[in-house]
Amino acid sequence: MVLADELPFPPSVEDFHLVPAWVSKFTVLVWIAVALIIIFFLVLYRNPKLVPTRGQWLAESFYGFVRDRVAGDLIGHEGLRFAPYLATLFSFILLTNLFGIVPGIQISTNTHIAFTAMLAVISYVLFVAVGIRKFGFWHYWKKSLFLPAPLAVQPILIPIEFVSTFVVRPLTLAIRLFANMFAGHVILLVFTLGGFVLLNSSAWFLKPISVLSWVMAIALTFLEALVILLQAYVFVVLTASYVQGALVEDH
Amino acid sequence: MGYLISGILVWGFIGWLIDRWLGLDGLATGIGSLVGAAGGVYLILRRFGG
Repeated sequence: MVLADELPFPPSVEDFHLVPAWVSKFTVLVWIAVALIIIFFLVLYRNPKLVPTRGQWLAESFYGFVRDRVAGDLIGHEGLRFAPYLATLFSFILLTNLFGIVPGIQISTNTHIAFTAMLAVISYVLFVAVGIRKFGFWHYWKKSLFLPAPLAVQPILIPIEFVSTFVVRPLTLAIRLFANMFAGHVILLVFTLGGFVLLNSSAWFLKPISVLSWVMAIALTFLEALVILLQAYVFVVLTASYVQGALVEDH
Repeated sequence: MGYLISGILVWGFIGWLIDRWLGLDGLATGIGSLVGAAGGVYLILRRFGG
């Protein structure tokens, strides 16, 4: 009850603004995420040994997973040079997603579409640039827009190819991550605050239901953990498959 | 999946423009969506269906 009185209700956009107006909670969280990732890999890999210590093993297996399972298997031998980017992307998305269920932070920066849109733009520029560098500007366009098909249906197919590769891909990349994290955040918020609302309701029979609401909030936090891991992985795998599509020789 | 959606989007939108132009009350939008869906399915078969 005391807690419920202190809780700002209903939650508003103002909750995100910290003391200087231009610094929001998201800004600080991104700084923290970047700092944590840099420290994590620098410290654990500062003094590499042939027989790895536990920390080194952790960093190596994380990077090794992205390099072998994502870059190597999906893109092929050419893909190994993208492993550093993919590993950075994976660790950044995973960590910022994880903020969504860390007690005391409990919001992921990826619930703001600006961050996921920026990540999607980077992946988009990457796969287009990689394709143009390998095949040259015109050949890359020809390769990605023309499929072997009868000439009569080409006018129908080319706009579809164009929109699906150069419009829908970056949009879905950004929206998928954003919508998943945003929906997860809202669901947790609804069940947690809903518990307080039920507890404070004047009807006595609604008060015990607040316990059910909080149990749901805890259960959904575990579901969120799954979504967090899955969405970070999906973003990286899709980026890798787009790069692979830009690099592939012929259909 | 992406092909299907973008096919319907592109040709549905073109159909919608034709609708606006000729005042066809959604007829061209429907035809355009079907054409787009067919094109999308064709592309999926071509690319992933061996």
